Amino acid sequence: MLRDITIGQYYPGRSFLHRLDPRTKIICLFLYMVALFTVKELQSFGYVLAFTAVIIALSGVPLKTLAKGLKPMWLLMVLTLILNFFMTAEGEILWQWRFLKITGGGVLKGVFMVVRLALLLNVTALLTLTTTPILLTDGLERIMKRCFIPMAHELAMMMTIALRFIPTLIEETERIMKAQIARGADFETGGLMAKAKSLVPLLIPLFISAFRRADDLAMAMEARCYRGGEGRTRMRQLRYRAGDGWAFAAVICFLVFVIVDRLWLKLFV
Amino acid sequence: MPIVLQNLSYTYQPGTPYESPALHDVNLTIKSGQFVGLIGHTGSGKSTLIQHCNGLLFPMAGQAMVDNMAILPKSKDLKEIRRKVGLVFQYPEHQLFEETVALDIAFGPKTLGLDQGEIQRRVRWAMKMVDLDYEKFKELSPFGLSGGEKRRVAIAGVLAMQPKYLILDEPCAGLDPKGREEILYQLKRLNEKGLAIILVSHSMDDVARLAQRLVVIHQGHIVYDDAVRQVFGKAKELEAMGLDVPEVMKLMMRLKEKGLAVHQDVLTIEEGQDEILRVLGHA
Repeated sequence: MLRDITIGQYYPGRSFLHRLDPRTKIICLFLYMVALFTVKELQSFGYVLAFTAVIIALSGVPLKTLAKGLKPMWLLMVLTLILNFFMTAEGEILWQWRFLKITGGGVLKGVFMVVRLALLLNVTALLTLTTTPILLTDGLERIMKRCFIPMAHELAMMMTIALRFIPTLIEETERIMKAQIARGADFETGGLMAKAKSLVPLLIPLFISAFRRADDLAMAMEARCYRGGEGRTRMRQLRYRAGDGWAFAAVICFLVFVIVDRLWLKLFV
Repeated sequence: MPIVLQNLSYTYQPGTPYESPALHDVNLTIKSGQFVGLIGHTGSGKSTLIQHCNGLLFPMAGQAMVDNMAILPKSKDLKEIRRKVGLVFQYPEHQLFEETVALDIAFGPKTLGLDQGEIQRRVRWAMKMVDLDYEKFKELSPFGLSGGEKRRVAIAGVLAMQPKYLILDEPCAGLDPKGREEILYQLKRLNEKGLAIILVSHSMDDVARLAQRLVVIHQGHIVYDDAVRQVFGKAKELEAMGLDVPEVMKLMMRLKEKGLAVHQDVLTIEEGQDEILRVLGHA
């Protein structure tokens, strides 16, 4: 059950996307998002979908894994759909009951929003799926330094540690959960109050262990003379390769095309 | 009426790149009252195996039964199965959460829906079983205790469910020699009172001393399941699996190499002493 959480999970592989420089992937993701929010027509999603399909194919990540990543967000998507259905009043009325009505425009907008959300989540997931946490934060640190964001190293280090500990804490949660289930604890049945109460035997040991781990980690870092980012060198230097150039070129072309289409071409309007 | 595992197989995260088979076609029967040692290298499938015994994991193939109740995901007997088979995980002190020792031990019995008097009685009994003085410890916070005491509180928390089978995963890991001795002695006493015990351990000396039967698991297969003496007779095979034989047995093997005609199948220091004296003609 807890293993379904795929936030920040890495999918091992040697695909084109895996081998790209993390900075390339982060910047390209940003450009992709800009393109995604530039699109205003449902029909124009056709070529966005095609482009996204190519990215997914290049990542070597199976669709099943991606779909699993969307699962925790289904509530948000359904909510988006429903809200747009009822809150937009455009076009012909399809269905009406007292003050509630669904219009053609509302349906279109709802579907549009959900597709956009799904694409956004999927491509963002691809970033963490094809980049190891260490490389990801390395890339972020370099980008933040370029943008003169203060404490870039500290922020990146915090992020690395947080990402690194997600699976550890999930494992720990499962372990403690099992230990308490073996003692007769019940985390599944009962009302909301009973469920909340049943979490106490899980959360207290979890907090204690998280603090203990943080303490141990701080001690271990200090013992290795960690003293922040100043003067710190790296074993593996990030370097742009030919593939990164191609990736940038493709994404920039895509973004330009989307903007041109929205402003002048209006291919699908 | 025993714990029975039949042709049981289990794989972690099937269908993902993280897929890892853990158990293949395992057959194992644990009769009540037995003291069974379970040994295997790290990652051999020991933990997976013991979690099948009380329904924390469900077999992907084959079946698991406790006292004729099948272990199935939605079974109504699951609660009863988990009561009958007590499971003490590695570092069980990590599961402590209550304000006082007595309250923490009472957690298990409370979930069984017992009345206050019975809960009290069980807490006292469980604390006595692990040699914790009720009056002295009941009001203390479990987080202020020493490592060995914490662990005994955690074991008492499982004992208070009054299981018929007790499974312990490395109950002595990280304890000082005195703490180890105390826990092992208490396990022996509990077994003498009729509780079946499955002891997962990396210490060959401990299982040699306590267990009657030894199960060796390697890469998800049960390789040996026999009397302790028989299993430790296969020193070479065990070594190939990254396992070992008891220290005193190693001593006997060395003595034999040096030309002293001792029997090698000794398990405890006392036996070893007698054997050496016998050969030297002092017995």
